[in-house]
Amino acid sequence: MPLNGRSVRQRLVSITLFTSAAAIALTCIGFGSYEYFASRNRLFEQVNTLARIIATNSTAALAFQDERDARSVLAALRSEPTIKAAALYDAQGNLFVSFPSEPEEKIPDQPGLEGFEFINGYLQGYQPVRELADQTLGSLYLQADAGVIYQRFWLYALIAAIVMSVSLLFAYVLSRLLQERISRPILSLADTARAISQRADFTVRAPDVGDGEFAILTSAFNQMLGRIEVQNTALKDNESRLQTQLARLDLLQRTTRAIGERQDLHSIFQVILRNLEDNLPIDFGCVCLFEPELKKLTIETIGARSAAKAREMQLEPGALLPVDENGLSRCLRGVLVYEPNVSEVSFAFPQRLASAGLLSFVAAPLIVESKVFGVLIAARHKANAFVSADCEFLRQLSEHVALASHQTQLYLDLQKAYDNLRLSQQTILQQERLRALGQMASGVAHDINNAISPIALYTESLLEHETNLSERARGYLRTIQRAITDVAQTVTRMREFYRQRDQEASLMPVDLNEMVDQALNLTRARWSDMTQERGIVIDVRTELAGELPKILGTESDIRDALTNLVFNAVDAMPNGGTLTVCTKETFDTDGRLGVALEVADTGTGMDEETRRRCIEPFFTTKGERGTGMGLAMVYGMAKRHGAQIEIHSAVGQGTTIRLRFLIAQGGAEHAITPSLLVAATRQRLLVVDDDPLLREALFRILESDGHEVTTMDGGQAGIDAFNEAYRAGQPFDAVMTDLGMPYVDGRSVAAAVKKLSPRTPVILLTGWGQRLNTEQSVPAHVDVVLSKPPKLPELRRTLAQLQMAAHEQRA
Amino acid sequence: MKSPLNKGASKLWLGSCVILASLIASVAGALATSEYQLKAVFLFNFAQFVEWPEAAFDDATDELKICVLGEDPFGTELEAVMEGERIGGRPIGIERVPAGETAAHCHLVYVNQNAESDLRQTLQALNGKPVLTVGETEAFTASGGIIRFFTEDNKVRLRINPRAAEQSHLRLSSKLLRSSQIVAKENGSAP
Repeated sequence: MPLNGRSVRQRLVSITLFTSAAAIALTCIGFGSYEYFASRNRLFEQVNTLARIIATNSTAALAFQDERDARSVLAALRSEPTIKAAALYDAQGNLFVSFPSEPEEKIPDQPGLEGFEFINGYLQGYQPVRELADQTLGSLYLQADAGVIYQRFWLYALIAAIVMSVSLLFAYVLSRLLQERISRPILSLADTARAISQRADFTVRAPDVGDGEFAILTSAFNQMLGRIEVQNTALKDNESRLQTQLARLDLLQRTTRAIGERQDLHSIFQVILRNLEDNLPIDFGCVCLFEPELKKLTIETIGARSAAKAREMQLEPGALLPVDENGLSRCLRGVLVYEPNVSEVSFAFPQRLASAGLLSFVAAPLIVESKVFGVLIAARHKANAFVSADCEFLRQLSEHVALASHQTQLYLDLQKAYDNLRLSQQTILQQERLRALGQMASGVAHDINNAISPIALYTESLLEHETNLSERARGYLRTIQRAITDVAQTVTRMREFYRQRDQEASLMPVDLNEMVDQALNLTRARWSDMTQERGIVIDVRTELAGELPKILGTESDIRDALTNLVFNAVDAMPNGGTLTVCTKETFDTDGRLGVALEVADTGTGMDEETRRRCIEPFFTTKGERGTGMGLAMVYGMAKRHGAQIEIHSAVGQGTTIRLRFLIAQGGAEHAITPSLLVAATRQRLLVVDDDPLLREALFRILESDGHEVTTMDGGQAGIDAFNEAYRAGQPFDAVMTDLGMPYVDGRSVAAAVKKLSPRTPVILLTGWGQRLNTEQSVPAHVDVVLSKPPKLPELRRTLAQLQMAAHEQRA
Repeated sequence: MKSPLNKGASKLWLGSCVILASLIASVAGALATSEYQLKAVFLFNFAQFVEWPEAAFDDATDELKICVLGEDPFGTELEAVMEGERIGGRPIGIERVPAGETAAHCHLVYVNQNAESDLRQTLQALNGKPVLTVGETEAFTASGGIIRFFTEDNKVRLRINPRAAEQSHLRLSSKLLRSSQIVAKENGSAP
């Protein structure tokens, strides 16, 4: 602060002195100026008056040339020291007399113009001498010394100097005495300010001195100090609060990081509670999860240090807490609840806390996607122990916890989805392998069918026509025939095994008993051969109803489902047991007639959880061996057939799976018609096949039936032959063609035939299984599809039916 | 070069002679005429220091008559001095009067009478009338004249009889009296 004591005093004194000096000087200047001009005027007036007096007194002297009188008049000027010279001129302008007799300055010879003026420090001029107004008798010259004015000024200056000195001295003394009144309060304020700045102690106050503005200044200064003191205190408070806040943030961050590294809820809760117990700190902490069905809270985790307290309150993990109406229910609505003193609350949970000496608690909701899934409870011994910062901290923490829990949940879901994906990928790979296998099997089956077709045809033909064969040979032939039939069935099953599911496959009347036989036959290796190798016996029983109504369904679907059920039953009996398959008529809940199919085993059975989930896709208890698709497929089949599925099982009691089908309504009649009609009429037939053996066999069989048969090798040859015959006027009555042929296949042949002669029936022989057998899949231009190996009765019946149809059309 | 210089010098010499001559002539003339010229001026000046009663004039613009009684010593000097002048707004008239009786209408009479009897008669005639009488004889004031010129140290001086002025109802300026010799009562009382 530049305004130190000395300078303030000096300044006040010098200001006072300067002001006084300036005032006095101004006064002197004003007075001097006035005096100067007044003196001049006075002198001027004086000289003028003098001149008029002298002039008046000189009239007679001039008029009558009285020199003596004139001199005596002028001599009177001797008493006036300012007049240095005077002279009288007569009317002609001649100098008459002058004064003094020997003047210092030269007196002009001639009088000048009337009037006086200051010239060179003298006031000089002329006054006319008149007795009467119109008669000038002469002139008077006067010269006065103006220096007398300046002389007087020296005196004035001296007086002014003395007055000034005395005044200034007086002013100095007075200001020295009086400046104390101003400088003392300022210095005292300055001292106070210095003391504060040196000691940084804002409790110091300036002493109350002076009055008026100084009192206001001092009190304002003291008020300012007071406010600074208050603010300083507030600042320190804020700082400490900020420190606490920082510590909390650090705790929050550490906790968040810790729970971020964990993947399961329990350990997340453990970490939080441990951190809270150690660092917040709290005396008791636990996390409860909300059970929406029970409307209760389950204690999920209790802090490690809170375990003793928990026992005191008879709380343990898994225990159920009723939701109190006071606080916990509010908490479950998403509000952080703080109960500062539980002894004042009569509800159950607060009372429980009070019983363990915990008088205040906070319940923070754990919210995910605006739903409360749990509550974090923190309690302390003292009442009113949580400040708002604690509550805020717990609220933030609970948000983090909820988020972490949510992420954990998401992580688990993701893990599950990933596992499911991997399983389905495996399944798809498996299916792909099966498909490739099936395609291979299909090719093999086609070739086998082609190969055994001549055998079947010739065997049949031999048994029919060669009546003179020995009984032994006939027996051999029958054995061959059975073997061929078995081979054909095996090939058929093989074909069905790989067959891809056709969603739009038409529902056909199905005999469930037949399905049971087929399924058991197909799975025989599994329940008979493989188990026996391991020394295990599985007793397979069938309890089939005698007259079972047919149901509408897809054979292959049902067969697959049965196969799967059998496999499952076998797998469930690792130590052997009884497998029972039964069919029976039942009535469903609506009283409609239906058919029930049951597969029961005496195996390990399923617990409730497994029973509930067993039809989920990819759910398996078999580990690597299972795909989890078996029962799912069964379920899908049941859905497609409108069937109900029941699963009865208990651990150690075995499992019974029952499927209830509705029986077919009508439609079941047209499937099988009596095939007693034998072709009597001779027909011209064209047989097209690329297999010479089959061609040969068909030729001989049909010819022996009395038909006129033409065989052609390959599609193009067949078409050419048909065209040629048609043009020759001897068209074929029917065309029989193989489906799979190189270059021109059976479909093309059929198309060519129908193009030329739409009425000519076309029979398609195929070794590709029964895929084409349904109504929808009969190719265009084809009337009937027969599968290989062709059976003689079937062939005959078909030809007869086609001939009859042709006759009806012609009729 | 020589001839122009001589010519200029001769011209200067000639001019100087003419000026010198004229100066000498004028001074001589002035001295010759100065006495009565001065006295004419004095007569004019008396009018400035004397106050006549109002009855002496017909009206405010009536002229102030200055008369010369007896032989006129002034020649043309009076006219020269008075020409065009006015005293207190009045024009000045100059008359020559033969005797005292004829001078009663004058305001100022210069009496040039050497004979004492004539003088006495004249003054008697003007006695009590507002006429300022001016004379030069030794007995003038004693005889009842008001102002007398006399010469002292070659200067024209004045001698005044205030009683005579008083009898003539004229008021003389004290300044006039200061520049003059005053006739004592004893002397002046003689009729």
